Formats: sequence, C-alpha cells, structure tokens
Amino acid sequence: MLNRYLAAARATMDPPWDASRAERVLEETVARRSRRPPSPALWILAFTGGAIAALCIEAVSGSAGGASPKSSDPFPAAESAPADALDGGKQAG
Amino acid sequence: MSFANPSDVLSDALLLERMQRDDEAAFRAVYARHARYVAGVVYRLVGDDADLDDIVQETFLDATSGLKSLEDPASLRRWLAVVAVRKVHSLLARRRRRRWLTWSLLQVAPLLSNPTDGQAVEELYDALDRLPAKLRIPWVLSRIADESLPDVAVLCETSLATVKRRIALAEERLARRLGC
Repeated sequence: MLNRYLAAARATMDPPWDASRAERVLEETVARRSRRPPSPALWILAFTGGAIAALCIEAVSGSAGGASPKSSDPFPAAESAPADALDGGKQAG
Repeated sequence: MSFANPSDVLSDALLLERMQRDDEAAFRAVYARHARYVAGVVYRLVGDDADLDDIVQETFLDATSGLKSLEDPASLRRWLAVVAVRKVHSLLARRRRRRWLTWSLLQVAPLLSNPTDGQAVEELYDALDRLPAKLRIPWVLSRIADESLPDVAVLCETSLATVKRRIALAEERLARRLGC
C-alpha cells in the first residue's frame, strides 16, 4: 500500500550527522554534564546531614554545663548582707 | 573527531563501569560508538533535524544519570535508544499540542539526502504529523528504521501485541490519508 513512500523514506532518511556536528554536540553534552546540578536525593541528603549535625552540636554544648562562668563574664555584683549576719547571728539586734 | 583512544576497543560493559565512576573518556567513547545510531533513530522518527542535537544531548545526559537502572550492561545501545524514543515521544506530543493551539501544521520539511524523493517523503511525514506519537513511533521504527517487532516493543516499552496493533492502525490511517 505504502510502498512508494516507504522506499523513498528508506532511501533518503539518513541522518544529517557528520563528524563536525557529532563533535560539536559531544562538547556541548560534556559541558552540560559537568555543570549538571546534583540530584534532588543529594540535596535531601545534604539537608538531613546538616540538620543532624546542628542537633548534635547543640546537644554537646548543652551537656557541657552552660551555667559555668567564663572569664569574659561580668563580675557578679556583691550582695548586701544584714549587719547581724556578719557574726553568724550570735548577737541579736 | 578526537575519539581515538584505548576505550575504542573496550566492551560496552567495561565502558559502562567506568562511566559509573564519572570517567569522561569512557563517556566520550560511548558517545563515539553510539551517537550516530541514536541520531538516526531520532531523525527517522521526527522527520527533521530541528531538534536533533538537543535530543541526542538529552539522551546521553539522561542515559548517564540512569545507568544504575541498567540491568544488562551489554544492552547499552538499546538503553540509549529507549531513552531517545522517550524524548521523541515528548517532543512529538509537544508539537501536536502546539499545532492544536495554533490550528496550523508545523512546516519543518525533512532534510533529504536525495531531493528527487522529496515529495513522497514530505507527504509521508505530513501524514505522520497527524498521527499520535504512540502510533507513529512504532510504525516508523518498524517500517522505516527497520527494527524487528520485538525490538520495537522494547524501544516503545510495551508488549509485542500492542505494538502490532498500533502499527496496523497507523498503517491503516496513513493509507487512508495518502490515498493508497
């Protein structure tokens, strides 16, 4: 039925693909390949890793006794004591 | 082309293994070995070379990132063709949608090696443009690209029975359209 068309197509439909075109497409492909963004799975992995690392750092710094004073902390203000507290409360009034 | 290197004599399986380790020389060797075949499949399916470079590029890029799903390393060539057929399917669907929107036929005449057969080929691809991709692709692969029916089934990722049915349907519609 379609013999005439098929014969013509088979005889003529060779791809216009010469060496220079192949080379150009290859170089573009290699360039695109090297700058391809990482896959979504890698992004998820990176974010998960980051979150876990942040939690670990927070836990470690919390358990190290955050209440201990550091040398850079301001000196605590002296508390005023009642006069009768100086002798251990032996003298009343 | 600067493809001459020791990779030329390596098997696809070995090249594949190297590509999985991001070896660029292996990638170039695979391209050198299979790009013309991929370009031929794409060109015969589409009927023009307007998007040929893009599809060949995308095929090799996607094939690289999907290499881990390749069960049989010896079937690299077929895997590349499957990826290319998927790309062509999307392209043809896009073109048909565009045509529906603009109410006009896309006029990209096939580039022919022999202009004397131009009229017949132009008419054929004009008729093919009116077929849905799922009918056009198996018909072209079988009748023009001369792939065997089991191979067409693999490339179209469908059963042999479905492929036979689609080719018959495409043939019927083309014959009607071309007045055969």
